[in-house]
Amino acid sequence: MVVGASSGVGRALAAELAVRGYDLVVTARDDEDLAAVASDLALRHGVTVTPRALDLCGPDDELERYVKACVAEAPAIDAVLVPAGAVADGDDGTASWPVTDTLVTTNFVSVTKLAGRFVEQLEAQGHGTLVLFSSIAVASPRRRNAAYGAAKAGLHYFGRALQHRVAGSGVRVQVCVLGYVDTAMTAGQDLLFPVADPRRVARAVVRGLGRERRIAYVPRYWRAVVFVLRLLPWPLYRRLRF
Amino acid sequence: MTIDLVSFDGTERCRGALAAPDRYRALRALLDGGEPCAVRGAGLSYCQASAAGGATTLSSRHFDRLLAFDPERLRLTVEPGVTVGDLLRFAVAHDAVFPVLPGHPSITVGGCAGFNVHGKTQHDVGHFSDHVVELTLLHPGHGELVCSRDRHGDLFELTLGGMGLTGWIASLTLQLAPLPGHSVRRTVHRVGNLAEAADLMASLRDAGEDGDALYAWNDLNRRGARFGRGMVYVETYEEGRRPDRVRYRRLKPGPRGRLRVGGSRLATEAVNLGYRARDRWPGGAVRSVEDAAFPINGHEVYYRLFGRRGFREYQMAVPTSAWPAAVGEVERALRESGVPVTLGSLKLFARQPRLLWFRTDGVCLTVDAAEGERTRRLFARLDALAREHGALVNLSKDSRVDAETVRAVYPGYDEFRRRLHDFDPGRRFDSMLRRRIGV
Repeated sequence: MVVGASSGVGRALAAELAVRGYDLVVTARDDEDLAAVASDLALRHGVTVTPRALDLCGPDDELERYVKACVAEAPAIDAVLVPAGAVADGDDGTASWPVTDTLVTTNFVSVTKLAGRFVEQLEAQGHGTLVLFSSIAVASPRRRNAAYGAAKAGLHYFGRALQHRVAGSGVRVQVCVLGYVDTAMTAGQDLLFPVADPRRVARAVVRGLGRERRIAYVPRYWRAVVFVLRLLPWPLYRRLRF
Repeated sequence: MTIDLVSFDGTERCRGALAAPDRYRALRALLDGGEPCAVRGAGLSYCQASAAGGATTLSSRHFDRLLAFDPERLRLTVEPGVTVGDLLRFAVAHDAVFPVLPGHPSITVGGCAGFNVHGKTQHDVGHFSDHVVELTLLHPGHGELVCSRDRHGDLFELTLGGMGLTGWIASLTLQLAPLPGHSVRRTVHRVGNLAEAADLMASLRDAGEDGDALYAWNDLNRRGARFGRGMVYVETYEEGRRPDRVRYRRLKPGPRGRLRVGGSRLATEAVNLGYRARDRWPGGAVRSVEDAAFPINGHEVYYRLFGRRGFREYQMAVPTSAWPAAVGEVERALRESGVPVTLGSLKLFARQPRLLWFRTDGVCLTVDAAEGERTRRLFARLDALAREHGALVNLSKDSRVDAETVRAVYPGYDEFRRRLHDFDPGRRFDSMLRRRIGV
């Protein structure tokens, strides 16, 4: 199950899972994109793909109906991956309230609601993996992703809290900390580090599904980058175009 | 994002905004934004067909999905960013093939539609447009239009070969053909010169011995009776051993390195020698369908030889009746120019010209050379030959041909210009190519 499958890392994850023969439930906001992704995966890889639209900024009862429908369609879930997210221009801490609402809801509030429900389902099955997607913005705050980074920091914490809950249950909760990835989120930005191919990121995430890992930096070198960034003194850190 | 956009041959440059929408919502917002747009596939047109000063280039790279497949009628609906490599791979997996394929798997279906391209079989099965059943076009002034030969037929015809100037192609339904075999046998006929090559190809065609693909490689650096000596290739599908799946390499536009060896006499001789020697190696006679379809795959380094200054290609389709006279004049022009030709090739064409389609009943000659003053002078002379002999110049391969020449050699120029103006009077879709050729 991939939530946020119409573009970027989500689409690459869905493709990587389809390559490995998984049947999929794919979710995104717009039906038009979703239908295209679903037909493409089914035609290229011969797997069953069920498209299910969801607006993460929608009301709670919509989220509730969505989870119930997913569980009904896929009674045995191997993995739930939630790479859905959003960024916005002008997210420097002074963005408009509607924009801030959208960023926090899409990147944190709705994802935690879905994650909680899906963890319950995985626990009932006795197996399965939930993957949440954090960001290197969590470890090294940046000026231009204030609400986004804060929301991802909340999600990172939430994921680690869930790991305590599921310990010993046969269910895994993994938090993937993504570095720069070549998606619409990074398009046109003047970045300090190279962007990774979403397909490479997806391969790394899917390879780790069966492993006992709690936090994974993808690409892996970001663990070292973050370590160094954390050591930098503030006068130097604030000068980085980062 | 504002970047330098360079034509694939490296000679036509433009600084402009590049957008790569990944959702329909974002795409529609850009199309409805009121600014001129240029439509881009893989950016592998030799000319600058997907950028213009003041226009936003819209990349189709995220719109690369297979949308529907009818296995009984062998019809596949795709988005424009699907590469021909992926198209062929899907088709072969379903015991089918798309009959018209350009030489590298990175080229997109949208790009093929925009230039109504040919492959190696056009004398037999026609051009790309002959195998398109339907397309969906998005234009901010007209909305979403589903076009086929029976519905908005004029627009269907104008869009196929319309160089991306009629709008954003949202989808194309392609007619695949049954796959005759899972491997391809290549037969090589050695020829002494260019005229002999064309004669042999015509006689093979007339005798029905032209297989499933027919083309020639010719060394245009030889003079006199040996001008254009080379090989004629006949490729035929067959069953039997299924060769290993080919790994697709990526062909990219954009800046190349400073090192430039492509224009030298020595490098040109080396390239031509390598080409001749290649067919003496054992094991090359039977290849996979993908390997045979994409002869440039794996040889991308060829384009890097030309360095940052780039190269130029001249592709002219000469009517059959004018061919014997044209051969001698082309030989004289090349000899007097002293320009080393890194690639020369021949193909047979069929059917009459239409609009700006690179299609005529005759012989298609290709000449590659490193960019430079001598090359530009040579190509200007070839323009004059084209006008004299009623030959067409391939617009997708040429980043310098002017409006006057295009108007002179294409009988359908005025009709194309008028119909494009009627459909898009505000020129919402633009390119440097459009401005240069005056449509």
